[in-house]
Amino acid sequence: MRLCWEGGPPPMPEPAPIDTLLLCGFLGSGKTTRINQLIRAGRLRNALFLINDFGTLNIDAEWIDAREDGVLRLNNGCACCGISGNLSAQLTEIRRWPGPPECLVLEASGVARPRPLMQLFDAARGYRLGRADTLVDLSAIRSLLDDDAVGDIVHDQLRDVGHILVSRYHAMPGGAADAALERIKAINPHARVDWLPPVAPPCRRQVSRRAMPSWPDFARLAKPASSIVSRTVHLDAPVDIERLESLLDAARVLLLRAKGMLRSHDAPADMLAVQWTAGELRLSPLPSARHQALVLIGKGEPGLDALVTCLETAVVNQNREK
Amino acid sequence: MNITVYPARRLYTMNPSQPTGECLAVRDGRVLSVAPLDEIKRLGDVVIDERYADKVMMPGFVEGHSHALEGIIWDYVYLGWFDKIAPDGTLWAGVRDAGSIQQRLRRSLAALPVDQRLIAWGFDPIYFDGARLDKRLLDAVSPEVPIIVMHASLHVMTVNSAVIDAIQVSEKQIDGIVRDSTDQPTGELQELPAMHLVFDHYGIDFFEAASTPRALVQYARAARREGITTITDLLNPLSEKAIASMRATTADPDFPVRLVPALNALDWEPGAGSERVRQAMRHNHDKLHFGIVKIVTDGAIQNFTARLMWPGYLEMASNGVWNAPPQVFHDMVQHYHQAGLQLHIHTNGDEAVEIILEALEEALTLWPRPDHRHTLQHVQLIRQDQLRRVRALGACLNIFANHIYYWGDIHRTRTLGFDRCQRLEPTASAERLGIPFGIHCDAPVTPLSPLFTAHCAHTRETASGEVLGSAEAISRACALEAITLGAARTLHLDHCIGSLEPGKWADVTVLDDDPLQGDKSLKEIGVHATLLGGRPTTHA
Ligand SMILES: [Zn+2]
Repeated sequence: MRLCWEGGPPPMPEPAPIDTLLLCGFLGSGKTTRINQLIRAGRLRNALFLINDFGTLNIDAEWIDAREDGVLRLNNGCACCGISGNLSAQLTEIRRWPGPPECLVLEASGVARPRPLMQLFDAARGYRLGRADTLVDLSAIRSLLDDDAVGDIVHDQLRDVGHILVSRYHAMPGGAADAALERIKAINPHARVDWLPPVAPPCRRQVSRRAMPSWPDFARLAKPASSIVSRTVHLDAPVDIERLESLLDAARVLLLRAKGMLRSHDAPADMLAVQWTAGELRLSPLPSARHQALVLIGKGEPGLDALVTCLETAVVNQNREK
Repeated sequence: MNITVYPARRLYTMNPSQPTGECLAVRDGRVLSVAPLDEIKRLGDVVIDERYADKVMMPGFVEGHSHALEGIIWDYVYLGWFDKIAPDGTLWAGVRDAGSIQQRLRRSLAALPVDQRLIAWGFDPIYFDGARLDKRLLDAVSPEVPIIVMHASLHVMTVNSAVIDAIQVSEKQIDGIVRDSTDQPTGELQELPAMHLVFDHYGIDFFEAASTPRALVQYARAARREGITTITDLLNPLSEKAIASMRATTADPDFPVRLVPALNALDWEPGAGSERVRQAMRHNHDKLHFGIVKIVTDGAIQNFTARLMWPGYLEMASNGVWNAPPQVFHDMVQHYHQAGLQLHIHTNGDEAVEIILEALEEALTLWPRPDHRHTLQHVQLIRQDQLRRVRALGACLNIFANHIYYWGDIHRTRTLGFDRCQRLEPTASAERLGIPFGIHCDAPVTPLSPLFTAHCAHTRETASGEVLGSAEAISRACALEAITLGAARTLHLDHCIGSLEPGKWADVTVLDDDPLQGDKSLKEIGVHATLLGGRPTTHA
């Protein structure tokens, strides 16, 4: 306790600074997965999770409730008028809580550069920077670094931090993984690189070992700067869902989205709504639907036409039961 | 039912079937008739109100892009380069040298309550060649009272020694703390990590304050003074508190404007965001209209933060900034479009326009929707090929026309160069292509004044008096349509506002002079009064 010189009330003792873990990384680098892992491992006591990213919030809320920790979504401020001040207001508020958290995990936005955030937590009253990690989807890092629109940001995300956590390397051929790692080391030779274990995707449909037809080389059919076109395919028989998924995934270089209504040949009585975005096929019951159709949106006519041909010849159930 | 008739010197309707009229008849808040008095009398007993008989009437101005921050920012001392009028009508002259800055701060300091800090705003360093605002300049005003000067970009502040000592700036290691040759802080603090020290120490939160009823009342007052009858707060948090505050304020019969708040999409997980707008829409009434969503993609050209296509900036090698990864914007467009809501998308640079056009093309191919009216906001640098794509998509534009005056000289010499300034704010191209468009003020970034914005779109004069890109100038009539019916179309509200036609709300701007005849320029024409739903508005 300090002596009170000026006759006012004695100053409140400063509470211990909030230990902060900064998680940076581009969109899709696995920041949310990492947070879920940290929560499940029970390694963080009395932690607050501050999410400054966009898109869907995938934090496992039950885990957090069970531990009486909290998740706060951060307002991202007004770039139009220029203030990104909500983070500032939020930090002030948190440190004034009657029972502030012992530890803060900040999931930074996919376009955040770590250095200013690290300096912020270094200097901000009531906080202490514990660690700054950048997460990396190794299979995507080279194309991100070469991307004109975001390459500079991704570069800085690698350069600024002491720890780089690498994921999604399992399906990469050895040479590709090494080359990607070299790019990272060239940008930040001093960082410690840790390899994250693979994550089982939740509620994944059983992966079949059935052989799939060999699909056309869609990469060859994709032309740069093609315009967006769509095709509607009317289906007159139930569909082999596994083949459909395999085909759409094979066409992901040019296919942006597919959606529609169809029947699966496993349960031809039920109508299903289907939505496909790169790497994910979602099915849900759609009893109200009448006829089967699939809308395909993609880049360039040749590629999309080839896709339609495959759909009609190799995916629709061959035993035309009509 | 009473019919009130307002005779006028002249009445412009924006209705192509009947462009002008003599008398406006109002019943139940709506336009009953625009006709000669004898014709109106066939509709029933009339009460004639002569108070505007020697004035000119127009549809009430529709401001399609501004911010409620305007209602709070005037609590602080204005230090901008240009003259501006506060909501209470006070004219604040622009300050253009160090001496004037100090003089204004000194005067404000004298009126400051004890134990307070002095906060100023609007200082734009891009106009001060060479000389920088620093702590010495502010210390000469007072070394003891904390002084904080926010720059116009809101990304930088300059503080005096009292602040530097209070927050122990010297000891901190932050890139944004500007230091002199002897490693001493100059007083300039750039970007959030450095500015947070000040916000945190003094408990400053501008955006929280902008959601309060008091801010909304001030905002409406500023709008009314400039002839605005519908105002858009184009970046609202839509928090419970903000919604409650807007509902309470607009329920007051004397609140002088209709308010259209846009959800700030970057604040929300998309599913929750569209749900929040839907919930808020249940509270819609004649003077409060929820239903639009704002996405902010890039920054501003004058701050070198807008995303430009080749060849980029004149004075800067790097490109601007994205507020989120482009894929996030793409996905948000898909989501909110599919959810049936209307999007307003901030796109200053041509690269930002490009990614949003791609997103809209995909969304509209997947989920075709007639007359969606998704609107690109600012579009200062949109290219001709992009304009054609906007038309093909059935999208709208809201063009930042007064930018030419405030930053046109800077854009020619420092950010863009001569040729791209010819196409800056391409209103004539939008008109030629038949794209529905409005023009706007981005208050508090630029002053809230539709007539001045229309003047800029018509003359394309910069602050130095130069004319930039005369091929993109539009006629007075076209500019006046852009601040009324054009803006109403971008808000999807043209069925009830934007023109004076029977059945629409009788929202009127009363002008001292005729904007289409006579020698007064649009910016010199005085706003005499406004009517909202046929009732003259008053000082709230
Ligand atoms: Zn704005």
